Amino acid sequence: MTAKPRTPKRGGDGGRKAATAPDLSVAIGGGLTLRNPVMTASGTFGYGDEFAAHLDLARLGAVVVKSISLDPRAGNRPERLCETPAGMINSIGIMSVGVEAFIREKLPALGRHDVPVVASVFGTSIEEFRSVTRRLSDAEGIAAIELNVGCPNIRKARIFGTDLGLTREVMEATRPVTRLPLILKLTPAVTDVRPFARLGEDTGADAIALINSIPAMAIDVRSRRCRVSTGIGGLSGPAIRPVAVRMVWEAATAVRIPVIGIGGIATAEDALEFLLAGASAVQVGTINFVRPRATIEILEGLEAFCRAEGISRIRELVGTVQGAPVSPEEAP
Amino acid sequence: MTGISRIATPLHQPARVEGQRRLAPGTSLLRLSVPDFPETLPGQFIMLRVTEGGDPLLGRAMAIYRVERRRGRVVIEIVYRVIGRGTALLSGVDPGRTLWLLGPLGRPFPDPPEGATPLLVGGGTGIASLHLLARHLRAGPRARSLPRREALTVLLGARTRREVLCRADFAALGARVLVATDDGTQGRRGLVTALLEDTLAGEARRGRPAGIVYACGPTAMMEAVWRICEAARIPCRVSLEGPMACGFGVCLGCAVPCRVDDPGAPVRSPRDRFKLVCTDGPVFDASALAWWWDRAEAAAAGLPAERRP
Repeated sequence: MTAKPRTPKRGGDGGRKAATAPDLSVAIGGGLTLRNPVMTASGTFGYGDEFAAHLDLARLGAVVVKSISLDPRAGNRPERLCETPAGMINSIGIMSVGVEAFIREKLPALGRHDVPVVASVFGTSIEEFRSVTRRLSDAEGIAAIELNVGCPNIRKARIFGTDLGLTREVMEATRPVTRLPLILKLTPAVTDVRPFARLGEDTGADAIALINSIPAMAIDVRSRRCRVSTGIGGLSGPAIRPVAVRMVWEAATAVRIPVIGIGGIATAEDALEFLLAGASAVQVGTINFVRPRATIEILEGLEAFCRAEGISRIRELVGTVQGAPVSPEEAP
Repeated sequence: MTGISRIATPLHQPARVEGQRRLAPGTSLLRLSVPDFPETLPGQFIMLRVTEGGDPLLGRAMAIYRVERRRGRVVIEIVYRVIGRGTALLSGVDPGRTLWLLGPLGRPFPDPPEGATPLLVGGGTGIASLHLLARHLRAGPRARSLPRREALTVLLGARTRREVLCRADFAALGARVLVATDDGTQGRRGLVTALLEDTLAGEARRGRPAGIVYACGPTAMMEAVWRICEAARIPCRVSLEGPMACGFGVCLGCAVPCRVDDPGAPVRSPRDRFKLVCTDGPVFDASALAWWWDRAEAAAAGLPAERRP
């Protein structure tokens, strides 16, 4: 699926860079405009500063940090990770320094880079979601809050995001305690994601992000043991991209607020798929582990695509997919 | 811990495959060259990707066996055993191919304490990280810390004679190399850990007791080495492997549990409970680790992790 070629604008390919630079800026709700649609996905970019050796963080649309819990969390016991075809399963279990250490130690380091910081909030209770969100909203230097209601690896906490009632409770607990843009990140572990996206819109989310990793299992046939310690972990990487594109398209057809696409993005073409499916921005995840500069390569690829196709504003591409079902109900 | 301050920023770059040589059945030495590579300390590793595409997706963590600086090129050698799809693909890579690597990564082996005689224990491909250490102890800036030039002993363990790796390379460094094989086809018959016990006892009798043991090999071997060292009150440093996606501290996949006195105490920091092989290690003080992490009874033993069925 590609956008229709268009006639290059004046000064097209031969012009000077500054004169023809496409406008990559995108709005992701709540009045927040990013300089470009390339964000990082929570849990794949540390607290941001770890990547400063490899790239200029200020070039990114936004950095979404590792999910933050109220108190420090050790995470799950090994094995935490295994490779699968074109992807991997993780069961980290939110290894978090806790919200106070994040604000005290991690946020200042990230604040030295001129990039919007999106804080991902995790809780094992409604109250924890509220407390962390409130605490982060009081801190300087956070551009938006993302609610991680879909972590597949904390069994005690249930996956809030697979239950409409619990998702509503999380939204109703957090929305009143923050004026920051609130992004609801959805799990793919539901039959139909549209009611969850609509619920987010109805309860005051400024944007919907999806998908979280897909609950998955891999088994070592010789030891007959599951390959991550919790048995089930979260599948990520290029393997999940077509599932993610479909779900992003479904969510985007269901709500008017911006949708942020996540799932197996490794190249600019992958990111473009999500934009065409209806995402206003994308989050780049697992590929950061393998190519530390992947976000920048994707950003440069998007800019090159816009130049080559004569697209002056990248947001024009959002939701322009052709050949999709007229409505999700018609999907097989 | 000297050397830590000299840890260089890793480079992510394409490397040219110069060639590879079979050392033993299923085990090869791969030579890669890059235009530039930061100073490498013993115990550090690289992440090496076998493919450009998405499958297999992740890089493989490989101990750096040797680094040779030539005019305008740096040749990096690694020793690997074929254990899965990635390493099987790697074994078929021809000279001239380009592979992406990230490195050097991780924290190095610390110098021996002043005046302490080091003893190296390697099993299988674990010998790879020890070779760079032996080289530095003999010839590098660390040579001065050795009390006697002839005082470096290296113990190598393998299942059988054909799987004893790189013995000549260690010998060429002037090290005293002792071998143990499971089947007795070379050196002493039995486990390298039994050889270690005898060697420690012999050196103590001669009045030159080992002051520090460095070990790298299968987890069970390293755990046994640590127990022997604990009993003999000798410091033990081990270099671990772990399933890692990134190699630089962000995927959090390679966590290993630390020894915790009170597992019921609240977690003050995640690093109290788990260390990351990639950035806290791969070299660890063996006495700081909880060695039972790969056993089913871990939860029953009160491991701090939130074990789930």
